[in-house]
Amino acid sequence: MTDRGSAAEPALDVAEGISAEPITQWDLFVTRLRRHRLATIAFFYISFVAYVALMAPLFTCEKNDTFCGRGPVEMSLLTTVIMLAITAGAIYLAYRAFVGKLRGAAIALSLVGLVGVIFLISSWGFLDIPRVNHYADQLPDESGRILVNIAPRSSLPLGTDDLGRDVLSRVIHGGRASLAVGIVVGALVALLGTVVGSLAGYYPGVVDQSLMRFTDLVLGLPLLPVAIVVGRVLPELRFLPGFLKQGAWGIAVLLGLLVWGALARIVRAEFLSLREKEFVEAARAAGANDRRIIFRHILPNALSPIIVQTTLIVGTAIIVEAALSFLGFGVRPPIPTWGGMAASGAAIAVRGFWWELVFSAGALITTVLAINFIGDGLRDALDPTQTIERK
Amino acid sequence: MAEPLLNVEDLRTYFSTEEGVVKAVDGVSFKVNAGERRGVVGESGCGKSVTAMSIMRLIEPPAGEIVTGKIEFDGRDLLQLPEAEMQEVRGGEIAMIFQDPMTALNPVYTIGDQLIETILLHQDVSKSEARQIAIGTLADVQIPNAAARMEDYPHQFSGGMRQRVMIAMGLSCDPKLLIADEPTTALDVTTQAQIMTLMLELAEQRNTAVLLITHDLGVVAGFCDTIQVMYAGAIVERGTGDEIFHNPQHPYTWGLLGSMTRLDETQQERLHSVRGAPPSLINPPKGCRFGPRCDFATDICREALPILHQSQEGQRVACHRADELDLKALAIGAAS
Repeated sequence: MTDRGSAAEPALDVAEGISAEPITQWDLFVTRLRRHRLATIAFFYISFVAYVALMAPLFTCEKNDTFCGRGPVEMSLLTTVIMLAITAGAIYLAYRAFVGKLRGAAIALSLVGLVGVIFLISSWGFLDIPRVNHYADQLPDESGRILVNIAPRSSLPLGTDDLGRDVLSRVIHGGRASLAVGIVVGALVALLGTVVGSLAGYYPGVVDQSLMRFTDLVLGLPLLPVAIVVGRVLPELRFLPGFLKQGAWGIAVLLGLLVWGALARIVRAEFLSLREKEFVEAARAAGANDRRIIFRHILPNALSPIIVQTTLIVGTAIIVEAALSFLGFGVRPPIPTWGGMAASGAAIAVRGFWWELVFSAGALITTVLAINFIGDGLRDALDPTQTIERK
Repeated sequence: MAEPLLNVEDLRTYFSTEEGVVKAVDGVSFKVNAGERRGVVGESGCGKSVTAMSIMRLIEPPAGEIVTGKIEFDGRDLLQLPEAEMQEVRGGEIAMIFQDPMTALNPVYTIGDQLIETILLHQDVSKSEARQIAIGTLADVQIPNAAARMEDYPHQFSGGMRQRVMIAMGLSCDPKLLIADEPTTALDVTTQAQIMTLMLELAEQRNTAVLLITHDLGVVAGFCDTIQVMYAGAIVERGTGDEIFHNPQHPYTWGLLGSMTRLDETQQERLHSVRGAPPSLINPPKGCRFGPRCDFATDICREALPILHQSQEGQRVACHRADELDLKALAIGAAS
């Protein structure tokens, strides 16, 4: 009886030499995501939009600056650091993609890296880079007249608005508001939704009930009216730090605090099912405490729906921010946002000056669409039960 | 006799459901000595697993509750320990191996991560030392190329290999007691014996007592020193393997043995089954729990609950008629 245990071993030893290169979960995920072509394109599009919005000061300069495109660019330390990181990351990923024989990705990523390097150099004033005019500048022609409502042409690719400001420059800068909303809402939703959902799902009874009733309350708030009212009083609140009062940050935080409910419910549902799994029981039997079980054993297994749902919520939040700005309750002029530009563009579009409306709304729609495609692709890539291959 | 390692006294674990209180374990007492191999057998729902979960204190209120009882382990009453100390005991001094190795490993971490985690939780070692211990135990459970396989995910292992990993995880901290809850049920028949042999050999090397829970009599027959048979939340018979297998005193044990498929029997017979179904644990029948299904039940069986007592043959049995019945002489299944 006792010698049976080792009977099968020689056969297993033979297999040792031919063990293949292990495929990690990450490899599987990337392969599946790449199969989703729309998501891949959307991913590059979003990266492009985010990159351009983040680097807006590099692409634009003030018209009356005679050194436009020649001198060093005024760039905050944070922007420089982020830019450096993106450039380094793009170059590294391009190298990885090249090694992994993903030629398309390698080329795209090296372009990003190249652009980053060029602009980093130019930001120190070593290179002449043509830039478009700053979003707040009115453009006078040779005779000194303000060029209002100029249709797109080669020197002004997207035309000018009714105050004579360059639309391209404003679209680029308007992306920053959406980017801020995307980042802040994404972070807040992921944090709040996950924490509330995890605790509610793991601790039944009082904790679950009170957290979920609170979630119901937040979900029950009508999003636009509440955002309008709070957004209206936001600049008047003395205790808020300055950056929250103007620009998109305050709106972003406000939206983040309002839209996490759906994620909390999903995370709770995941926890309710995962906490009954045998590996959780096994972890407990191995002496793990609640914190370890929640964050180390259950949460990573619930990550897929969290990522997907957060992505989709971010898309919605960007739309809501645009709607607020469109209605005039969001970011205040003259700071450009896509929603605000759409509003002023709509006012002049009836007179035939369509470009401001089309380009701002177009940027908004394509961005949100791309985010939703990414969400779709992530869902397909992260769901192991998915068998239908999407093209 | 030395102090037993584990001393369970009058353990009662009840679950409250909408229909009423389910008395899953109702007055179970037993002792396990250091290094002993104890088998617990019985059909589904007889309280085997709940007994094990109660020892580990894995029964979670409000669903279930250990109502009364004492679980003395190594001189301490586990039921009185604060949760933090209990976490030290779990995995460190008492390890548990689960039925289904396919689901008992966390799919998002490598085998190595999970082994190292358990070791770091209970032993005061550095991460690299823990890694060495983990590789050592993986090699002990005869996983070839242990160091390389540390980086693999559970889905890259077969069922038998995963159960080996579970055994490695259970034994990595040198527990004093290993509770194996149907460790081979989910496995291929051909790997069952390998896994059992391996587990018990390793337990013996480390002087770890084993509480083997199973419904497979064949498994306990080969591997256990003593066997206890459970029925409807109570122990009905306890004795050495020899006593239980060759001289069953309780009609239930006798019925169970009769329903085993045996290769060493030449007689062509219909496979016997214990008639009826186990009683409701919400409203157990009056008298002997096995009474309604027993071929030998008399009036006293319907009136009074038999208690576990020493029978004339040596083992302990909970049957009023144990001493008058000579089950050995009866051909299995003859009475039905």
